[in-house]
Amino acid sequence: MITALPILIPLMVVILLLMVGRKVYWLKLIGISGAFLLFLASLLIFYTVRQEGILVSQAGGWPAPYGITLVIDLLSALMLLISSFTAFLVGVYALKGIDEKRHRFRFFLFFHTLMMGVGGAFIAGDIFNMYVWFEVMVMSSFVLITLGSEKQQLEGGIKYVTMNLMGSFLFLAGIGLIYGKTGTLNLADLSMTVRESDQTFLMNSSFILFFMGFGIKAAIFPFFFWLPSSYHTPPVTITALFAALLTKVGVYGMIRFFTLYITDINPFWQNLLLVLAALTMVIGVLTAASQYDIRRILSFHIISQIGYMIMGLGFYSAFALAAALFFMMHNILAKTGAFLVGGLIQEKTGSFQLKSIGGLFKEHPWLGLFFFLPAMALAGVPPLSGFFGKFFLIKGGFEGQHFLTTAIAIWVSIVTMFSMIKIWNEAYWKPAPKDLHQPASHPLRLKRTMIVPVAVLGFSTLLFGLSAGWFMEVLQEAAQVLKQPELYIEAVLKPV
Amino acid sequence: MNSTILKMAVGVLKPLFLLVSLWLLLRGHNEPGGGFIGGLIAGSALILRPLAYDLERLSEKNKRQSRIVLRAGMILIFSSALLGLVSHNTLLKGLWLKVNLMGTQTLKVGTPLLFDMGIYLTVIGFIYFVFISMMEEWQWK
Repeated sequence: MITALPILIPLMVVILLLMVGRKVYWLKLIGISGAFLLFLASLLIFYTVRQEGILVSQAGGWPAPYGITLVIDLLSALMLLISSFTAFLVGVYALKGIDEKRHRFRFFLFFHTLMMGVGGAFIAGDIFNMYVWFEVMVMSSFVLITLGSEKQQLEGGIKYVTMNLMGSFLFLAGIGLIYGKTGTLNLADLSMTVRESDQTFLMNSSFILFFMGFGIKAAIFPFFFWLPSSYHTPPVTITALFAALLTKVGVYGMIRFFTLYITDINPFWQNLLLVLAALTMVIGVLTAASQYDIRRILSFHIISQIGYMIMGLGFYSAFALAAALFFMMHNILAKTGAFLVGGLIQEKTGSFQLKSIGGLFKEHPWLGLFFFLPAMALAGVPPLSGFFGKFFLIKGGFEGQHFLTTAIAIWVSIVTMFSMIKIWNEAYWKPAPKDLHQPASHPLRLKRTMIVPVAVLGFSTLLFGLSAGWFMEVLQEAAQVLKQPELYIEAVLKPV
Repeated sequence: MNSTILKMAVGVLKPLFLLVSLWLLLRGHNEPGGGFIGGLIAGSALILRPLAYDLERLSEKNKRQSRIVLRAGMILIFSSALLGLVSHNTLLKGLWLKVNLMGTQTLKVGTPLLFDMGIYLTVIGFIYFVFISMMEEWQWK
């Protein structure tokens, strides 16, 4: 029953939003209560999965290899929980952070179709179904990125959708190949087929296509360039939502596929993952260091941090997988928080350019604190969440004796620190530039609904770091399930 | 567009299109056809007349109508998915109702048909809506 909720709740909200027309008050009310409901449902799902193990539901009552299966294991439940939590906070911020015009053009409708796509991708137990949810996600994010139709947005949107459609084509081509070879698309059934026969013949040609498809969505090294050229164009609320969800769904897909199909990881895949991870980290962080627009710095950092997650997947021990998941959750919270603070800065000063702002710490010390928490979490300062994420990853790397990649990760972490301190120095400590006037039109007092989500995100990175031990236990449980695909296969294919 | 051929043909084509679309909708459960194709054909039937005659008379009212159709379709889809969930605890479970026709024949009506009808209406509403929006753009120029 509850397995389908991550799809059904957003769908219901979308229909309700279509019913109320363009009355902004109702659009906001329904949108935000829908997001809250989704968060509650995710909590319930997480609790149930912890109690009962993997939840499986066969749509239409058709048994597994034939029908469409929805599967929620601990990884899916955790991803649903963290994504709906962050999305709810972004939704609260969006009440005032998105202007009336964009609300009238139904920001929340596309917000919920995006959530439907994300939730569907997390719970799909069938490759084709997963592809469909990816498409739902790409289409709604395309509308969100161009919502408002400013010239810059359209340009960014075109780049974004072209690259993502390329990714989808490659993914679809991979699906076609694998269906021709094995005759099944059910994730569990396929995993069983692959394990029972000659793995290299059946899987490799399709898997490289899947890898590229997910790689484009996750913005890893050779495919990342759509991200920095589109993420700074929409309003920062929308960028924060994308930063929280989109690339992470790609990483989720990669983790899911690698653990199900490349069960004994061979040197080719491991080296590919580690080399691409290192390049992603280094290139992301270096280009970020050369930027002076807050949104662009943070966008390039998304790429560099995707590298860490891929690195954890490349180490491929249960501990490193858990560490990668920990890092992903930390990153969702901290990155969204940092973007939203960027939005507050822009609201205050009218600019994202570090050159033209300054002195914010003297004027608004609390704004400094809310930026300090997620930024230092991203840089990896204890006791914030990023420190533990990186610590676990590095420990996993040393245990697996991948010294070079681990050393690169440590170095990248220091450069990340440099970028965050740059924003801090320029925006907060440097005296405000004299020759640039602050626009008088901007409100002096920030809205409470914009500050509260930022504060909650900031303190949740702190809390996440302080309770790292407990989370790591849960995540290691999830990683154990991932490392034993037979559990997943058994849960899906057992007779109803 | 000012095409005499299209104007002459509209009167015949529109009912034909609508009939074919209904036929496709109803046969779609086991044979090629279904809500999506049926909806596409019905949608193109609806835009034939404005395309041939009176683009200018398309108004906000037609847009509202298309939205109503679209919503009705989505509600049908949602309820067909939900009926199975409520009664059998399985999403999209097909529920069948057997209706006796004159004692000899039985007609099976089920939630798959409801789902198809939902898609049919959604596609019609969507096509009509997109058409009107695009024609508005043309009229501005």
